[in-house]
Amino acid sequence: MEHMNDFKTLAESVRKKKGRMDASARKKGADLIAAILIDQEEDFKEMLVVAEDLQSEAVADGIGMAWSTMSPERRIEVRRWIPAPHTERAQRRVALLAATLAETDSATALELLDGLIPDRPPNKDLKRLIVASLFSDGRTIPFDNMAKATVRSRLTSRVFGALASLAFETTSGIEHMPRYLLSLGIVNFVAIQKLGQSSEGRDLLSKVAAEAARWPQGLREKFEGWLRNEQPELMPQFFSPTPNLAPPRLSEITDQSQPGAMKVDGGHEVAQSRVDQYLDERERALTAEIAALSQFRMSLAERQNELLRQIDAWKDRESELAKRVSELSSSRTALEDQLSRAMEQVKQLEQALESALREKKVEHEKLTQQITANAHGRVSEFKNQVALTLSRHLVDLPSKETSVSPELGRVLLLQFHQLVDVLTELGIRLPNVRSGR
Amino acid sequence: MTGFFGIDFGTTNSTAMKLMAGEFHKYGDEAGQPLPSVVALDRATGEASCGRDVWRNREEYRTAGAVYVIESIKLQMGSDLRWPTEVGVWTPEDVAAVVLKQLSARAKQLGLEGIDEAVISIPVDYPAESRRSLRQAAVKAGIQIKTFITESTAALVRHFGGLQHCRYVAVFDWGGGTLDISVLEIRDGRVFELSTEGMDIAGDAIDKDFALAIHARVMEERREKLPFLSMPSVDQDNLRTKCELAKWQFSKVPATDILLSAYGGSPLSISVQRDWFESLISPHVDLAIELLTRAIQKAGVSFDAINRLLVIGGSSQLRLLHDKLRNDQRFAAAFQSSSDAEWDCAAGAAIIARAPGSHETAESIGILLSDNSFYELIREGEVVHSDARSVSLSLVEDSQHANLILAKRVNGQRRITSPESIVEFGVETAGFDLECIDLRYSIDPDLVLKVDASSRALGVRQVAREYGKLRFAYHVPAQ
Repeated sequence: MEHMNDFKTLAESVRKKKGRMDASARKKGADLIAAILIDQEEDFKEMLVVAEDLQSEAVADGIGMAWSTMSPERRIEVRRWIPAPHTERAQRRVALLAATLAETDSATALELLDGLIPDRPPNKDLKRLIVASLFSDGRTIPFDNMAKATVRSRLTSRVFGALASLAFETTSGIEHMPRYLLSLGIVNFVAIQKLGQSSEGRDLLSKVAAEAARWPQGLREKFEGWLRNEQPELMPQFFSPTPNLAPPRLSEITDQSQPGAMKVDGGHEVAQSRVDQYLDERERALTAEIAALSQFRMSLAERQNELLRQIDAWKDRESELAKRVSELSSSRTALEDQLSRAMEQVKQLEQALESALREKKVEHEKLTQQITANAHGRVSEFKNQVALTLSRHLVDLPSKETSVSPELGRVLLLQFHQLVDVLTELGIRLPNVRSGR
Repeated sequence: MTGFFGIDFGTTNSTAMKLMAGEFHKYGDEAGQPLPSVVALDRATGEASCGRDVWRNREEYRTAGAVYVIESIKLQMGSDLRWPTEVGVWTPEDVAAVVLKQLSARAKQLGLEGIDEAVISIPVDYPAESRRSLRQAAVKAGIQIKTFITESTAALVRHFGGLQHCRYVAVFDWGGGTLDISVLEIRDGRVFELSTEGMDIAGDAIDKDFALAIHARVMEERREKLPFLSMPSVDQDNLRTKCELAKWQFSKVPATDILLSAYGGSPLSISVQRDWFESLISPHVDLAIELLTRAIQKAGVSFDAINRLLVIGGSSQLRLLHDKLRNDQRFAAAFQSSSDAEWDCAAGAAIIARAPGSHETAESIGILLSDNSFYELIREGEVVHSDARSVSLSLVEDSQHANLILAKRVNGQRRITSPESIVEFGVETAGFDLECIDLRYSIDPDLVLKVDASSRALGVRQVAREYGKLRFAYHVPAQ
């Protein structure tokens, strides 16, 4: 989040300066973009939105710096973000990105250039833009890498053809060395793709040959030396007694097939020979193309099979997931039933508990009453027992008015002592009564 | 929490015990003593009361004549005795119900729970009509009798935990009114009553004799010759009361004074030695021990075979009795005195109320056939149930009258006796050979054998008879 915040701050600053960025700002912008793209935790999509405010150079540099490190998924997202080259700003961004990615991902660079370069001849502004992006400021585009890129050869051929047309124009203003490097790339491409005998290969080589013819002597010799060492089989295409062995364009042949045109090459036999040669070459090229198309078809079939397998796998997965969903649904229903039963049980238990507590309370109250009644009753029993015992001893108690004779007095005294003994036996102690009566 | 009630409906005193949560609760009179089974019935109002006050004033009541003083109602149950009052005639059931109600009221007063149902202990040979009458009295008192249990078996059940290993036990129950001795055999958890003996000389008689002896001494000192019964009834009562107090004092002290502020118009003061007292009651004690000896001999077992002599009842606490039994070689080893002698029967009945056992016939019951053979109807050892069963008999000769003779005999392990006739009765018949006579028989909850018979040809003219002196064994449940 720290990079993103810095990036937003930078974008805000650029907005305030109406899009102007100095070298350090561009460097900082590129670094932040690269950091955000590489960091999986960062929200790069938001960065791509904010990046619209920055100069295309900074954006291209940042993407180029991160390209080889970022995840394939992010590369796809960035590719989707790259705008279609319908405006000048978009064309500039694509061109700069292609130039940047040429070093690390030639295939992507070629695809970007293929999209950038129109089928018809580019206008002056686009030409200037492409030249400025790919060939100026001492930029050295690794055309050699492009030549080896694993993309469709027709695409590479188209891009190299268009670049050659642009760069090899005498008015392009491009220095010899970039044009020399482009030429090497083209020759390598033709050699690698074995297009030396094809019309497009010949077309490309003819452009290089025409360009080489305009080079200074030293550069031409350097090219010849390189060619001899690196691609000797193509030497005859450039340095032979008959320097221009490039196959004639079909239109030329057609033109030559016309009766009036046969005079140009000096005879029917020669023309026939060239037609045969052309047809032979065309046959070989078509054969190769059919083989390539066949291979491509096989590849497509394999891809189709692969996709069908994937579809089957996904269907299996879908079926499995549906089954799982069904199981989970059943399980959920069962759990809901179980929960419902458990809740019912809880309710019943709560009711039982409540009932038990009520019963306990009632039982407790009853027991308390019983204990109280029993305690009172037993105390009463004890009192009654004492009373009964005393009353049995005092059944003959004289009335208060009775005159007490000595004999009766003695009886009463003895009875009194018997009472004291009885009380003691009953557990009622009389502490102040002295012994030794 | 509900308890289990047992009632000892005694001749002199009655007690109730509740067994609840392993504890016994006593219910007697308001002083916690056994309730005197004496009822005072007002001749004018028909109001009845019972208990200690009635017992204490019984002679005064009798002299005044305004109330009936009814003692020993237990012995009158099932009789034709009646007590007319101005508001109605009282039956023995009404009188007994007063005692039972008093016990129930006491239980309610002390534990908030009256007696709804109970097991009642009765003497061994308590007649069938008395049992039935007692059941009716209990119903009047709001008590449902679960079952009857003999007093000796109830006492044994009370101490059964310590008697399970015993084979022969003698229960010596000496209460206020009677002495009841039973020799019991414990076999396979069943209690068989082998023999019984009894007499009416008990605590009350001892008190009376004691009072008479004191009266004699007083007369001697005063040089007078007035008979005891000529003394004022109050003086008689007072002297008996003082003598009873002195009797219990002798279990603790060797001498005591009998004191009355007035006896025959003069103060009475006599010092009495325990030796003198014991010499006075010794004949009663000797007689009681003689009865014990006789009961054991009657049971057909030797003295050595008696494993335990269980001494219970209020009067059994006499020191002289203990001394004599302990010093008698025949009984010394088996002697066991209960510390709660007056409550044991009720306690045993309460235990049975909690875990009821079952009565089993101790004799085989059958019918004597024309060839004098014994046709068994009820086996010995059969669990008693009240469902009626029947058997069909036939005439062996042309006669308008059939004689039926039911008999019992013992088929036990120890001996097989000859059939003894218990019920004889005649049934009218149509008078043809092989005519069918239906005999139905059952034993009701009051342990009475009921039989009836009729000629199938004549239909409804049934003849019914009862016999209430069957002997039963009681199956004591494991405790």
